[in-house]
Amino acid sequence: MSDEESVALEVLLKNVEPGTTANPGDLARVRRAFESSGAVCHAVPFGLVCMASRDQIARLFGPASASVGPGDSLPVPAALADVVEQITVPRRPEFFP
Amino acid sequence: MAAGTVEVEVVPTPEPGKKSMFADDAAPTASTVEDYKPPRGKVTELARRLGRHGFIIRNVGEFSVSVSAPEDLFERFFSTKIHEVKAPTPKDHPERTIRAPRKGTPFKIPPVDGFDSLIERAYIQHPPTFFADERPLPPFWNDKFRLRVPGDVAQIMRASAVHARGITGKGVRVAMPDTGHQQHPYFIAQNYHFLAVAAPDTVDVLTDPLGHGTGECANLYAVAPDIHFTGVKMNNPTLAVATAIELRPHVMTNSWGYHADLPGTSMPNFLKPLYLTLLDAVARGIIVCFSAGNGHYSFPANMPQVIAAGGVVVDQDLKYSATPYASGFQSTWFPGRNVPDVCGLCGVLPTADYIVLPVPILSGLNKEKGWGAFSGTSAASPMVAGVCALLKQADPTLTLPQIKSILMYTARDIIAGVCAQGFPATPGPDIATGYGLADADRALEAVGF
Repeated sequence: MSDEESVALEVLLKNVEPGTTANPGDLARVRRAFESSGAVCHAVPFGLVCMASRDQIARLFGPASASVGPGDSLPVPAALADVVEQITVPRRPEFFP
Repeated sequence: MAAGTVEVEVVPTPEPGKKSMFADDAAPTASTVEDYKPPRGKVTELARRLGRHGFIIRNVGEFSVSVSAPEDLFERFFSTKIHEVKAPTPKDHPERTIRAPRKGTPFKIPPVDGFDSLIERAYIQHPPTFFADERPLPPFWNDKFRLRVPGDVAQIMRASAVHARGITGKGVRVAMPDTGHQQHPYFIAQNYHFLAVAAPDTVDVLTDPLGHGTGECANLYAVAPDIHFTGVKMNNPTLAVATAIELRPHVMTNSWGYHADLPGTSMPNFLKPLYLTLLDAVARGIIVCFSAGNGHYSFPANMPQVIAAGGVVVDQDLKYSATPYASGFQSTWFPGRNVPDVCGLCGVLPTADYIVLPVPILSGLNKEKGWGAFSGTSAASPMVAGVCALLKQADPTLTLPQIKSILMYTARDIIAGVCAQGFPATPGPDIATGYGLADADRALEAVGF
């Protein structure tokens, strides 16, 4: 998957405290849900960052979500609502030269 | 190339009916190049026999065999003598020498093992000239007053005196998520410990198309030259920071952010993952520094848990003042939090082209021969992080709150100038410069060094 084709989704799990890691069972369950659609996931302190194509996003969240852009939030799928706090698309920061 | 070793291309003789690439009438083109190819079996056989005579086979190519050999083996094998020979260079370029047989020196294909019928010619290969040509030392540009790394920055941050006492950041790991970090000749010339890695969503780890990361880390090295530095090439900052955390650095410096902490707003959801990741870094004991911004109301510098670095400019008369290029503001998101905490060096409006920094020659910030001049608060965070690294070497048990406190109470008060948001620098702590310009010498004195 090339950078141009993929969108980063930041999946924030519930009840994750700084300095600790997410519950492994919850993390594995969320990871399976995203990876089953073909997304590539990286574990991070708050949950997951998943790289997904717009087709994969449409499969996960419905066709209306395929046009999601930087800074947007996506609806948490009902099946993951007990463990996922929010799903957002990051924006690039500014550098301060 | 190892000392006393030569790299050689050995070309097989052409087959009957085929052409020699060395023939006077040789004029290979893309459509006729096949006519110059020796049979594969012949090239392989040549490689096998050269290997038997002690040559190290590097590649068996379509047209030649690439080998390495000690100079004395090359000399014995080809009955020749290698000398230091002047290489041709363009007018006004520095002289360059290569090691090769001099013109007229005997050179003979050995008549053993069938080599005289297998080898047509053999040529020592010399390192090419790279036209990228980044210069290893900062240039003097005399159009205006500027600072050069490492000396000027180390002096003004009062790190030179600390270096003389043996505190140079040795053993301290510092990570820097940024646009990329190229191993610039300047870093090699200074003997810096340099490593570049990529966050999982980036590629081409050693490239830095903008030049920002490559340049700004020179400010860090100027203050703490013996650190173990790891640059993290970033795309999505959350992944870059998470990657940096996995490196277990003592200090992390960040010269970027979001113009977001505006009156009447609260933290948007899309920044919460990054916020939590940075809190995780702090919880793991990493000293996290951020640039305050160049007029930005910036997140994550506004986080009370990090060290926010603003900007102070020093002119040619050694007058210190707040600079209207650097941010100074009261956070809306975190009531009571003022940015910055302390300052590093920063240029002035309109472009802050103040400190001369190394950059890849093909990068966006290159001005001339692999150097650029740019120094917003991006320069300030790595300088402040450098002082943190010096403190960490002196006392590895120091925590982020302790280091922040030491930096603030040993900083030089700035009482002139205004910041980008219009706040004046006044006696004592103020919004324009926080507690003032970080002072490595006084900070280290505060911990007994």
